[in-house]
Amino acid sequence: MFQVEMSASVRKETGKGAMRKLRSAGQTPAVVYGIGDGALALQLDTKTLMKQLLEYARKNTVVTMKIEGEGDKNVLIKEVQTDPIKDTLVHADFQEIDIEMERQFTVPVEYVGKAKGIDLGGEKTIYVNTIVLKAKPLDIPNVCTVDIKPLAIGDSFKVGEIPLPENVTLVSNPKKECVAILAPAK
Amino acid sequence: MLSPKKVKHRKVFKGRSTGTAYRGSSIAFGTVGLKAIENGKLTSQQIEAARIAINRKIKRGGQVWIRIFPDKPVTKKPAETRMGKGKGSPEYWVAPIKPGRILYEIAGVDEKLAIRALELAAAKLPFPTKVVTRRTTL
Repeated sequence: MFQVEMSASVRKETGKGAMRKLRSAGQTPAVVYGIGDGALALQLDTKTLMKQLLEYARKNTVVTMKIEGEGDKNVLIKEVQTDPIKDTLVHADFQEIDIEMERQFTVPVEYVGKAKGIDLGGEKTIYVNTIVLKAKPLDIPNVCTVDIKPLAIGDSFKVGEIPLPENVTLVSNPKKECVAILAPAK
Repeated sequence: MLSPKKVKHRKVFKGRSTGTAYRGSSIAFGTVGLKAIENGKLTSQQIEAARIAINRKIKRGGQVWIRIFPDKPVTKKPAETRMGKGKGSPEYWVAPIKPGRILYEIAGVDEKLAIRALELAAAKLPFPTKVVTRRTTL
């Protein structure tokens, strides 16, 4: 799991006009919700937020949100709204989480190495690119790596055989094939 | 060229294009995409011309996705016909495009080559577009 720090301040204004002024002043409106009652409106510096979101928005990331006057919160990036034409930030949603509680995450699977069977003319066929894991957020791996070097023609690798770290349980179907080396089509 | 296999109504109203594209406005499959920044209609010929321009540049390497489909019929009256006597017959197909819509996506080739291919494709289109990459957009 990636970890990143962001700093924000509490936002008091709401509504279209005030938010347009806020965006033109280089700030992005955001909201954090999840634990406790109600949502907390925030504002973040657009340039810094955009830079961090470009790197982490598509990955499993725990953000330590440092909020002025509210302390630190552990949050996940839930939703990012962008302008469809200008591709600029419009709004960001963050979900507060308890890092001691188990949650489900979708983790990418990476296949490394060249299988034995490919040298003999076989074809690599990938069936699974992501798997669902359940664990405490900080125990979740960034990526699950599978070494496919030992696979010969006709061999396959099942989801249940993917090596996982301790304290992590597999939620996806373990019997499903994730990669196979197939005989070449005649 | 692209056209629907079957339609419920042969002729439809012209309609007006307002607002911006919210669906289909971000890169979903490839690494580089071509985004419309104005309203317009793309005919199936224009879509095909741009696709050929892309494929010629990337020399069939990588993969190209066409994110739009011309599903709207446009009718035309025959030449030298007086007004009236009903609506003309379907002539060609168009895809109505709203600003923000991703038109093409490319993956599996060098980013510079993909951008150049999309610039060549943009020259075939009747409205302004811009090239966007997954690296620089959310």
